[in-house]
Amino acid sequence: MANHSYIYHYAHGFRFLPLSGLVIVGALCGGFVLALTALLQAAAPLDAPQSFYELLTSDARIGYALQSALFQAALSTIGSVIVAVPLSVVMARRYHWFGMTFLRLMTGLAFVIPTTVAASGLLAVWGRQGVINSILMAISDMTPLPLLELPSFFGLKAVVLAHIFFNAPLMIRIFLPRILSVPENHWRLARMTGMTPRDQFRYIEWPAIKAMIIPMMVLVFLFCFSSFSLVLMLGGGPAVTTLEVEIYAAIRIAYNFHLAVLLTMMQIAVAVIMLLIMLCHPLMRQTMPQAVTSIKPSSIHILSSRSKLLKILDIICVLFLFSLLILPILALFFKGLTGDLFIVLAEPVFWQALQNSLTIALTTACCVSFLAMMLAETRYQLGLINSPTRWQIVARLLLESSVMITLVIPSIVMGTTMFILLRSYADIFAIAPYLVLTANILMGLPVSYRMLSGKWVLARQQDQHLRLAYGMNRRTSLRFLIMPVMGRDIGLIFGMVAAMSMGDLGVIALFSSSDFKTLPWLLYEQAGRYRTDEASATAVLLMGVTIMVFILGSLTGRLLSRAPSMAATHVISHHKAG
Amino acid sequence: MLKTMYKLSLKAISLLSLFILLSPALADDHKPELTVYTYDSFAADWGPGPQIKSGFEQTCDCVLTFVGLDSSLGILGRIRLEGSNSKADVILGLDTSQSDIARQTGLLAPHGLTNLSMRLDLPDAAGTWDDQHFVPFDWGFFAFIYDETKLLDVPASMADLIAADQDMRIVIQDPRTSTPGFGLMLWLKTLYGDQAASQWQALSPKIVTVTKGWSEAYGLFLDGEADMVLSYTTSPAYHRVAESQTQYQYANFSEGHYMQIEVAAMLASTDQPELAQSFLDFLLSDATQDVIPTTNWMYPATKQIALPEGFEINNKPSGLLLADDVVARNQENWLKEWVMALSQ
Repeated sequence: MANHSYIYHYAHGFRFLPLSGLVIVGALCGGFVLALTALLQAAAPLDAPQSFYELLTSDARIGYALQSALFQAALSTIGSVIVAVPLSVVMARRYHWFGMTFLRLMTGLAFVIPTTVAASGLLAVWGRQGVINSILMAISDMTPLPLLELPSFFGLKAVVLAHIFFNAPLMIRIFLPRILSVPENHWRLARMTGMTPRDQFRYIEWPAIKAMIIPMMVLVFLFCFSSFSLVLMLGGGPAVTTLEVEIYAAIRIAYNFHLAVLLTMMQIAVAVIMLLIMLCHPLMRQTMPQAVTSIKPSSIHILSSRSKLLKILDIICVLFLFSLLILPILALFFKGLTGDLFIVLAEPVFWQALQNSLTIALTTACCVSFLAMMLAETRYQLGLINSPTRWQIVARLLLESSVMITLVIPSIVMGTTMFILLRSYADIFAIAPYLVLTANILMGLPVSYRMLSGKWVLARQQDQHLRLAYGMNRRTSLRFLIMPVMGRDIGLIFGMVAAMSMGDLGVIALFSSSDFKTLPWLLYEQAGRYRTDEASATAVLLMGVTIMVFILGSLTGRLLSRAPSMAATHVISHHKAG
Repeated sequence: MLKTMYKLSLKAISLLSLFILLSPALADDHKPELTVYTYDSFAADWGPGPQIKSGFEQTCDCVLTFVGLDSSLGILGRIRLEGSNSKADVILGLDTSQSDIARQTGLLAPHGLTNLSMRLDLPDAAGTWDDQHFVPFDWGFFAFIYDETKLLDVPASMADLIAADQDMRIVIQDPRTSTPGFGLMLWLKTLYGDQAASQWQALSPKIVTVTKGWSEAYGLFLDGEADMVLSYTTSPAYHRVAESQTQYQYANFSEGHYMQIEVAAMLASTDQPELAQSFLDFLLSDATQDVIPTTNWMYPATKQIALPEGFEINNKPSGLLLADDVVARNQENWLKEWVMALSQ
């Protein structure tokens, strides 16, 4: 990237600096403060004057929960990276293998499968009556081997496995395109110099992904750290817990809002520490400039070694991913595809819930996509100048941290606060859809921002030169320069967020009434009776709709990126000339 | 760039807000409305809610609205948050372990019904019903359910269960989030008092998992993930009546079974006190009590109700029940004790 002075001038053309994103950031920060104060005010006065410090030291459970959550999240994050990095490399190397398109689609999907649904899918594979155990039992029946049986699935291992199920594919979804967008001449060079796969990883693949490693690890860590439903479903008991679970207990059972605020602040503190680690980590400093293109990766010929051993290893890797990712989903489908499917489809309440859920999901997705783009744009503009002023650095920190903190505000705290703040102004039942919408937007924003901002900043840097060179106005440049490059990513975010809010029970549990039912609520309700078959059928339908919404997002992405890409042509011609 | 995005987003948002349609309240303006907060499965289409609604509306010339909340804990939490502004006139579905906590909020009004104890038919452990706020409408015994074709060595007492082999796998609910889970905690507390923590530790290797609610636990049991599940003595009746399956049984424990009595009360803030009172009265009428067994799968609370076929209990277990004020006083410590016992 030459001509920095040129950008510098241009940037100063903006008299008012990136306001849009900062308004969102301000709203978020204001919201957090408001939320916690509202909770404290609503709290019953404490019996004895008790400071937060006393509260903190009086209960051994708090320390235990913090420790347990940190340990579990660390394991889950490391596990996810260990799975995601090699698999990204393998999936890039074997891009054209049979079934890879399907596998790539599934990596995008895993993250958005409703947690409760996914948990029963994992059980259908790893549980006592699961696929693996049935195979083991069959083997021990047929052979004189001693009885083989998997140990009980629940506990820390189940929680970590479930977190890997959700987060490793998310990481792959980020790493894989980065490897695929390595310019072709790098691979050519690698072939000419006879690089081994190890060298290739060291000099080509690792540099391509390393800038995303720490941000993704932080994101995943915070996801796992603030995990709720999965911990309750698979944790096996109170021995595996998170602060989020304790916050729920504090609000719902002990009705101790002071404790809830204290625990929430602890969660925020952990998020901020993670953020600082991220910003200070050496891996984050040496990001090399990258070109982002909309070229389809299929035109890139990645060096494939002739080694048989490598091929076998790769097959093992892919099979591993298959069993981790696809098997649970398949098992779930087989479980749910029963006659009850038609019973559920025949109920008008299903269609009503479907309509409600779709409306919420699509609206959330639209809002989040726009908000994430605005935040990413702000992030880009804040990073535009080589020597940022102090307030710009502060603004940048504020931006990153407020988005991060959104991730760890428990939905029970969010919901309870909304309730307390609005109870005297509005009929909570009547505005329930809007509250659910707000909560879903807040839930979808962090991951969308994280997935969008890196590439957006790069794309805008490229676009800056071209825009001036071609003399385009903003609208044309959005259409011809940004969208072709970013379209698929925006579509991905759209699909992911829509699918996430499709499957989330979260805050609806606080507000729901018979008037406003969503699909996950219907599922919850159906599971509350004895007929579990009907619930499994609804689970499959919910998963089906989730997948469709996700695919809709991808299709929208394709549509968005369809405009003739001048950016891409430029980059190609640039490379050819070089 | 920003400007364009703004314009686009404004357009999109204004279009989208059209999509959200609020369903207006369907209440008939002329008739008084009675709002009852309950748990979701009571209000659901297959629960007792709809039948009680149509029955009550025939007698009262009013509109009865059930609002199904996520759990009975949700009902208590909701009225606490709403305070005296609550839309609810009646809360239905707490049990006696929560009743004293609910009473202490000061949000409830006395039911004013007389001769309750004459009409009720509760197990002896419940004593004479003299609660001024709560009206019981059904009850059940907590019990462990098993499949007799799969589990042959059934424990005959809680002590047997605690001493059982490591092979035994049970699934229970979390006392912090689920009423059966809370019931089991009180059950062990009643039997073992100060020794409860060590008994929980002895039981813990057999606990496959502790679920958030009843439904997850029961689902896991039906899927074969556990040999026994904590539920109610009426669960086998469901399988017999609704599914004609006879292999599910409850394990009859010689020490007795902890009881759950579900109750309803009217709120002090109600603007329809007479209507609320007549609804509480209606809960004990035959019209309501007749539908309870096969919709809520609990035992009816009044005399003269013949149990439906399939509900017969052989060797009716003896009931155990702690006084509600004892539970209210100690629940925080007992929950802490439970959590710590199972965290070690």
